[in-house]
Amino acid sequence: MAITPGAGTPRSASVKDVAATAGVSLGTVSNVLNRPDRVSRTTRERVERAMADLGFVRNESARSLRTGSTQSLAYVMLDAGNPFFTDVARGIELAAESAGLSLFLCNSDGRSAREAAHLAHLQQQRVQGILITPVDPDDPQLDQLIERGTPVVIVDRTRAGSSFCSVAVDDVLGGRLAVEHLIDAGHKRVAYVGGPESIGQVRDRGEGARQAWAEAGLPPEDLIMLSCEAPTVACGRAAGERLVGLPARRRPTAAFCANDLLALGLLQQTISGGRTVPGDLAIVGYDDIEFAAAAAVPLTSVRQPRQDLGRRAAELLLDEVGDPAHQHEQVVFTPELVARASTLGRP
Amino acid sequence: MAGERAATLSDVAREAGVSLATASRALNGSDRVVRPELQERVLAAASKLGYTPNANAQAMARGSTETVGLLVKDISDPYFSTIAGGLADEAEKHGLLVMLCNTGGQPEREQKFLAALRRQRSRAIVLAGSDTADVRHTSEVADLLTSYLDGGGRAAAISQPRLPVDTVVIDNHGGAKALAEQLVGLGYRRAAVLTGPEDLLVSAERHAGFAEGWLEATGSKPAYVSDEFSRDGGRRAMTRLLEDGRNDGTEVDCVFAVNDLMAVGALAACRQAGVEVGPELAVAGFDDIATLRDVTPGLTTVRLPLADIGRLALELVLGKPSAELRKRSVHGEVVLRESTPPRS
Repeated sequence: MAITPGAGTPRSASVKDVAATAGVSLGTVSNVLNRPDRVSRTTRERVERAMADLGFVRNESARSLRTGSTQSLAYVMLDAGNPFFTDVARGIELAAESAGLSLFLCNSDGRSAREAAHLAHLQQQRVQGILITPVDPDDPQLDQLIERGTPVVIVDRTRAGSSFCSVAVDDVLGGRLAVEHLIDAGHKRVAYVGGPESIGQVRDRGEGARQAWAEAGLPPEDLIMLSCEAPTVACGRAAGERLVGLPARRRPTAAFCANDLLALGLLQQTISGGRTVPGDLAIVGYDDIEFAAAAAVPLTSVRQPRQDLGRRAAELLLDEVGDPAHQHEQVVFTPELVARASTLGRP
Repeated sequence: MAGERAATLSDVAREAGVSLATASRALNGSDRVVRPELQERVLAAASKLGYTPNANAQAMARGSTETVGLLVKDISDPYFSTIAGGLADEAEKHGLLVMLCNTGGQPEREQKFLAALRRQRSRAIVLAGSDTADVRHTSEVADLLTSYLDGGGRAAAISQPRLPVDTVVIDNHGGAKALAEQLVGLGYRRAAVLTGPEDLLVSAERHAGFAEGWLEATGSKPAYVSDEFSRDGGRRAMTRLLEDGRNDGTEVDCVFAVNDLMAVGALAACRQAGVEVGPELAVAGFDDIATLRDVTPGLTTVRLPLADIGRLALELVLGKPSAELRKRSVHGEVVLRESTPPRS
């Protein structure tokens, strides 16, 4: 059904009418609307009075009602307190900015209900597109967004099928890199500290660890899987206490943690217990957040190209918004190991 | 327009075979009750067509959407993400969503976000951390806020007393002064301050408070080195301070970095230079960022109740409007840890 704009409805006041009434140029009216800082206060007041007299609708809600969209993107992030995600956001921001779009950040805080509320609201606001690190990558709400015309790109997660673009890092490879590094350093008993298992990355990094361990021909029981409730500093400390509690012959000489926050907690617990890193326990983290290099013993970590991840995701989204012939892509970045004092050289 | 047209209320009414008014009442609620079977038919039609009420259209009718815009200077700084977390938790209790806007401290971006939030008819705006001494920028932001307030929006600021809105004021001066007094009490005598850029109010206030406390207790003013208000800035400032001290023999026994991030950078610089923090040189920060409670040695700092600050700001924008500008003061608390042991 064709829709004729304005047909049959009384014409509302236009920018032209406002300019004529206020006795200023069209450009001045436009400046009052979009760049009020460029207009003197008296002129602005005159134009605003004219708008009020004519019933001119000056807010952009009206414009976006016509075009059906507002000039912004949104990134629905899993945890605004985790430096990994804020770095990803920075990469998205750079790409959005060069396309002249604002980026809103929405923090789901790992909670499905809050995520769902944000997505519903963003769709209603008619944002140009949504980037999301979802609580659950298979959430059907994501399909609904696409079906209703809002492009979505999945960041740092993957999902089966190819109805979305996604950008992620090869976490199995990352796990392999970490554990191969420890095997190369001569460790024969290693702990993998990670959890919860419901997080895909935790599983993938653990899988990479197992693969590296098996390929080196080491006995599976000497790779100790230490599961924890959440990937946080507090859980890393708790894991440290559990490692100390193991009988000496079962105690690992190295630990690979599923993220840096866990590794920092483990590091802190180890040092405050009077043991040394890497002498008593070598530690590898994951993410290479800024604090990793600033830790008491600078932390060996698996670096992910966080800003590139965000930037590429935003580029895919912008392509999808602008190009009717857009093809979905699943981009996988390769991580790298950054070796520092927490695994190098025994003091 | 790309893709299929989104379903409208008319589509839903046609699909359900009811009038537009009935469809609207069934979906949006009304004083007039819709018969249950009609309501069910409308809801089924809406679900089948994938109808979502357009927030913009609703906002125009109702005057506000259920969001709060929070402008922060740098979301990767735990100071701001902790404030944001406290504000978001409180917002959730009121059924509000928080739209985070990362300004990067850039006036143009701040203005763009303010304009976008105004267009979206956001219910309230909270500004955190654009407290610059740049008078022109401040007045531009004030103008934008004023036009937002004129349209019925509500706004509050955190630690920016120059804006014409309700404000949560952080007692930076008092907290830093108390820290200086405690450090003198521990036996330190020669202090240096690592500060951010001079036009950053938060940095200037903390510097001034510390200097005042130090001067009153020791009769001398602390030295200072300025750099970026970041970890890298702290590292560079500390490196320069150590080099200068070695060159001209003016070594200090204690360093106050005006925020925790700078302090962590300073710790890294000390480590690199082979200076042992604690026994050889005391280092203190400001904010008590949770992630940094785990650094070794534990960092002496001034604890700010950051999550509470976010909550307070939200209370200000959701509470009854008052004719007079309100101020809520928040005070810090000195927390002594291993990085500043008593001087023997």
